[in-house]
Amino acid sequence: MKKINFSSIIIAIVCSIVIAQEDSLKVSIAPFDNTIANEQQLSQTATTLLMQSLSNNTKIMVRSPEAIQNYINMLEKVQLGIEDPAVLKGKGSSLHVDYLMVGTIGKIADSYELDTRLVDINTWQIVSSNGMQTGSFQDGINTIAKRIASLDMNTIIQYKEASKDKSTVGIHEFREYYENPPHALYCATFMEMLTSALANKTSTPIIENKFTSRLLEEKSFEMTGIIENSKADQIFAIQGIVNRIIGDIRVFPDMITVNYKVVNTNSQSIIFTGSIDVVNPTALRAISAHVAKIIDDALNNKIGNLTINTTPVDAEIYIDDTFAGTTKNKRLMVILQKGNHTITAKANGFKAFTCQSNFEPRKTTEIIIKLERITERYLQEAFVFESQGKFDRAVEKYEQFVKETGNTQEANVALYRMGHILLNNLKDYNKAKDVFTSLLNNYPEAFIRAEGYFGLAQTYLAMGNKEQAKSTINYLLEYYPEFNAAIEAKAIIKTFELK
Amino acid sequence: MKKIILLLLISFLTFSCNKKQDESAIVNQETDAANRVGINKEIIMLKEQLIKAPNDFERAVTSNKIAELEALKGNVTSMLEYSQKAVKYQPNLYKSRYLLGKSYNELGRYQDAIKELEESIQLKSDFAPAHFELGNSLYKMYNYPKAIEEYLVSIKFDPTLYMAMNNVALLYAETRKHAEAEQFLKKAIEVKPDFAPAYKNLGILYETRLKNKQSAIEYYTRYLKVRPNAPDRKVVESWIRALGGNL
Repeated sequence: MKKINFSSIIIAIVCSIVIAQEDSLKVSIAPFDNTIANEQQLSQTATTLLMQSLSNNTKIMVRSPEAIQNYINMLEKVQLGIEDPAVLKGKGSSLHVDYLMVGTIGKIADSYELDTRLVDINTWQIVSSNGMQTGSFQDGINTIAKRIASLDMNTIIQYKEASKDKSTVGIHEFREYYENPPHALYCATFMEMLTSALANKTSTPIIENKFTSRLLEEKSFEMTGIIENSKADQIFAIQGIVNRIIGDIRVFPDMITVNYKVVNTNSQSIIFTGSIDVVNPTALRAISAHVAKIIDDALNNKIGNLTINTTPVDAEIYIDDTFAGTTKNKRLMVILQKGNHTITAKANGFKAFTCQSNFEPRKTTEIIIKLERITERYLQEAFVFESQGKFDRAVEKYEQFVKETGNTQEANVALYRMGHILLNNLKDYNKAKDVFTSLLNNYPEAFIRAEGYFGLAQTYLAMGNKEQAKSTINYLLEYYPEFNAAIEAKAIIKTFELK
Repeated sequence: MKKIILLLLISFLTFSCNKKQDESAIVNQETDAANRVGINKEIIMLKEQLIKAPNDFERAVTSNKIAELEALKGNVTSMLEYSQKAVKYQPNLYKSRYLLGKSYNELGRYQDAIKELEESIQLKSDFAPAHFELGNSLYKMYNYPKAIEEYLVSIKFDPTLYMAMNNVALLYAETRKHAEAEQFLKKAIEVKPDFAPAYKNLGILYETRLKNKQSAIEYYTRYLKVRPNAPDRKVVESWIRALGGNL
């Protein structure tokens, strides 16, 4: 009986140990990347300190790096571009490790920049991250160890659950701008900071950058003036990474500019671009958190893509009065902030279309604009009245036509004709001046603009304002010399100069 | 006891809020400070000038200047905004068309970029940067022969355009014209001896295409010498070692 009791106790202890091990995080530590040339020993110090701190923790089972040495060697080869990063995935069960801790040590001014991340060894998705700026290396590592010690399996499962259905993001590269002085290199450190911040402050699933930054063959030529390799999107998409982040850092004598872009690897389109300036390089840690938040907004519906379809023809699209592009094959995709926007479509021969849209990313993904052909009835009637010398009636019809067609090329022709009649036939110079001015404010094509300036100059002359007439003609001669209006203006300027 | 817990809770919340505030305070402080220095100071001054500009030409020229500075900073959104403004105010300025084309290239809108860059070239056919940028658009559209043509034209008009020399060399390498590739990379180094990418590219060309180990080692080593703290230093060092070179 005693024997049975003893065996039961032993079985119970073994079972509880097994269960405890099942519940614990099986972790190993990869050698830290160290960008500080004269403090290379810190990499080993970091591993030793972390091993010591975590060895007594019951929730975390730490496997020594030596036990997974082959994997670590493989990781190093991937970092050197000798091995394909794909070899790093799916090794969890054979290594008896579920998570690998990776880290980087950097230094900006007198502060150490420490970044550590816990990555799922099967997927290379980050499940936890820590980034910090510290004056004391040892204090920093101890703080990180405490934070890691507070982790448990549940926290990680919850994190994975929260990010399960979201699109994965990989940080690809940040380039030192090639015109930078060689001493100012912040890109590698900033990439580490941004990776930590994205994994720490957002629920976006982030793929570890030590994996993603090596996805492209290292031994490939470097193009200048072109930010990235053309094949990057395809390679990321194959790895299941939906969005990749690229950027550059430019160092000026008195400030640093950080530029970043989010690229959708499936559509190969840039879904967001941003830029931020900083004076003090030690503020890059705070900047990385700020940039992570903006990228998260971009990825979480606070900004989005809108496809604008125009029918029956291609049109120019203006969003909030700014030219956004032309619908090619009747289609244009734009990136838009969530909220109210004014969308205008313009095409020659069609009435300008304007609408207000309350844009909600991913809910509103497409709007279809049906453009209405301009009826030229008013314009034709105006031409007839003009030819019959009924100038009042002609002006009336031109006005109706402009009102109906808005700011279009056809309306600009009507405005020009109207200004001409008001100036030469009706002698209503004030109104002529207003009409020519609104024509010029519409920024029509250069030919009509030249005619507009000529009309305006003639109006000023008729009003007795020689100075204004002269300066308008000079402007016309200087910037539109190739147009007929300029040749006629030259003749006019001679006449009143003679007087 | 309740009071103590409440006090602890309040201090914890205050601490967390302060931390958040600290972060955004640093960002605000930094962006404010950045607005008062060098290039940003100039941009702000130009924006004020733009409001007061007496005519469209001045508006276009000022917008152009802003777009140029934003291009230098790499701020694509602002570069696009101000180059579009410049084109609106004055459609026939070659520089505005060029900057607009460059913005489109940065945004991945290569067809739009080609259209604008061709406009720029039509307005000033010997403007080398527009030919270079057009070469970039054509490269992204996989039209290598035309891209080579444009890079060569840009070099013809500006024999110091080392970036075009580098890019044309790489396209020659892609199209297996290795002698030409070598020649243009060497030319780029001659024009700008501290242009690091050309050394690395020459190393790769010698190693992977011309199978010349010694020259590959030589140029990888020179790359590291020109750029002592290159971010890819470890990688390049491993290449040198793999070729049997000494560091």
